[in-house]
Amino acid sequence: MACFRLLKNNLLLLLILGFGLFLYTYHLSTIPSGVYVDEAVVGYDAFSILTTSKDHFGKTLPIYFKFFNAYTPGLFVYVETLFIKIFSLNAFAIRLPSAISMLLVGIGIYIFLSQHQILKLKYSKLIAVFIFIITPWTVFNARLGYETTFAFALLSLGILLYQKPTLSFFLISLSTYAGHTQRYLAPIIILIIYFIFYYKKSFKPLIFAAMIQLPNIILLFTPAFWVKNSSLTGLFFTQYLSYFSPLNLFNNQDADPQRSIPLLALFYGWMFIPWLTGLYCLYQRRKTPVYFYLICLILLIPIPAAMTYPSFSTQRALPLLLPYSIIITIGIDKILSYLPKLIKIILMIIIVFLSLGLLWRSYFILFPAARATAWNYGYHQLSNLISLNPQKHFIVDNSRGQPSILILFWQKYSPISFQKENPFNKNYYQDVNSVMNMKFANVEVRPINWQQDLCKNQVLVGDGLAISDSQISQHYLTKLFEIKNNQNQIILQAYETNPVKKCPQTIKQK
Amino acid sequence: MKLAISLFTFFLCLIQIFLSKNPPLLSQTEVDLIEQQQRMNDYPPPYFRLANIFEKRPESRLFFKLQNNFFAIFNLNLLPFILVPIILIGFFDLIKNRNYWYILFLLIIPTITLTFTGPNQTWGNFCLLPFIIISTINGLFSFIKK
Repeated sequence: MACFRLLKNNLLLLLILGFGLFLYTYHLSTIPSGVYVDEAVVGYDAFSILTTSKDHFGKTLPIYFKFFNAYTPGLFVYVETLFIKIFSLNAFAIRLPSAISMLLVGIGIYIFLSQHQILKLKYSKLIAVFIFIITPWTVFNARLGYETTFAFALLSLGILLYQKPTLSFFLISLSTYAGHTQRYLAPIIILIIYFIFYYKKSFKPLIFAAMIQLPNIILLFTPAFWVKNSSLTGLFFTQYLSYFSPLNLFNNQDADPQRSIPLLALFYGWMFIPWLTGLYCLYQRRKTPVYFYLICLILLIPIPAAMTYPSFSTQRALPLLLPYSIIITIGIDKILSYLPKLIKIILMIIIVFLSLGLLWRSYFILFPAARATAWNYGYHQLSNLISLNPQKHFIVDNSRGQPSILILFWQKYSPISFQKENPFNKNYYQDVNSVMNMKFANVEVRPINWQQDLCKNQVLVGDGLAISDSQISQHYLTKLFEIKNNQNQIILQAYETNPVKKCPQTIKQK
Repeated sequence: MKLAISLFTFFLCLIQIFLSKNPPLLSQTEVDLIEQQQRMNDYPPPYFRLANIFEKRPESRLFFKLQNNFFAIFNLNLLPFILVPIILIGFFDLIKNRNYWYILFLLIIPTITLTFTGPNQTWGNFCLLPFIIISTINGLFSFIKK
């Protein structure tokens, strides 16, 4: 009965969340097209943990995962093992946790706004959740399979549930095991919450949060903890300001094509007006604790992102999505409160259709084609072709990428076999050198050696730059296959060597 | 005083329009046309009509062009870091004190002018200069008062 009443009272919220679930899971396996290397390494390591309790380097239940020398906090990898167990190792399974994470943040925003008298209009909380769900920055991060979204969700839920300090500090502290940015932000945010709301009250939540940090403190004295600090930069003030620039937030895409949606910024252009209105409301009511809290979050969250290269990283500044979404909602609520009912409804309908139209065009139509190469499209097809030719030996060029993990992912190659074929040394957290070249089954991933590789019967695989036309004719190579993207551009090409013609002396000797 | 500043800003907007060397809003370069065609090719066949609406129709192209021009005005990296919060607080105080006349003539009209004339002006966006000065002074006074 209580359950039925809960459902009835929150029917609209459930409908919005249902729409969000549809938006975040529609064609999830194919949009983004391909699986990015960061997704593949997280997915494959989760698969490896599930199968062997070790990552693909052979380390048993690591706290930080080596990946590509990033030593990323590994909580998300362990969460992904559950999804891989149910759905098997594929793009859908590795991306679904992010979709669920974003929906949980939406619920958190609803609870936060319900507990505070911030909004005037009755339906503004629902508008807040809906706007959050359809924001481009949210949609993009809800549909990718690496740790940033999960870490953002843990941190955001901790921020939103600050009225329960033990739970809040627990979630914020736990988020440091999910993402790099959270390691710097968590202590700042815990201290903000403590000094604004709980100063001179109980110390217990702080002590509990500190105890969770014990594994981090132990690893603090290893090179693995500091590996990301190499990207620190001195351009702090310029970069800090860029996270408040309307040009970057509402118009321009991220300069990194892998992190952007074509022709769509982090927020829709129309959100600028409510954003500015929301900032004004925050300024007006800055002496109220909850508004002061939001101001502190906006000013402090960009600091870790501003300290590192690249400038304006939408990934490192992802925690800024939460306070900005709340500010935009405050602005929308303020603007709508001045309008007559009919104008409100017409305006909201226009804005919703405009936003969904732009999202559909940019994310579901243009994004899969325009960003296919950036998202490593083509390696699924390559892995299938390698599997269909077990008798051939493949050399896959890795001069411009990390194809090994992509092939391991798509082939669901046995982690037990891989660990035997590529033993890693015991100093997991001490040895921070990259491991680029790998060998497994009939595949070798390394740069092509134009002196030696041509004298053996094998297949050379590379992108358009790896094997030139002159090399093809000079070395008597025969095209085996090529893989193109939607725009008919060659992504990968494979050529068989001809040792009989190229290296007759070697063949004679043999 | 209000009238003098407003007339001065209006006069600056006219000079801004006169000195603008940007091409017409609906003009397209060869690169624009190639990119437009590429985008249209990405739409699946059942949505070619929508592709035409989003990519080719002059109303859509005008909408996106005006949006780009509008946000190009608000590039905060063109301002000294220390001035940005002062200008923002000065602007908020103008709203709080209901100085709508200043907001209309110093901010809204120049913004509309620059949105239609486009960014990359020869002498910069000088018609916004009165707004920047007034907001900065207002912001500094707010700091001093508090």
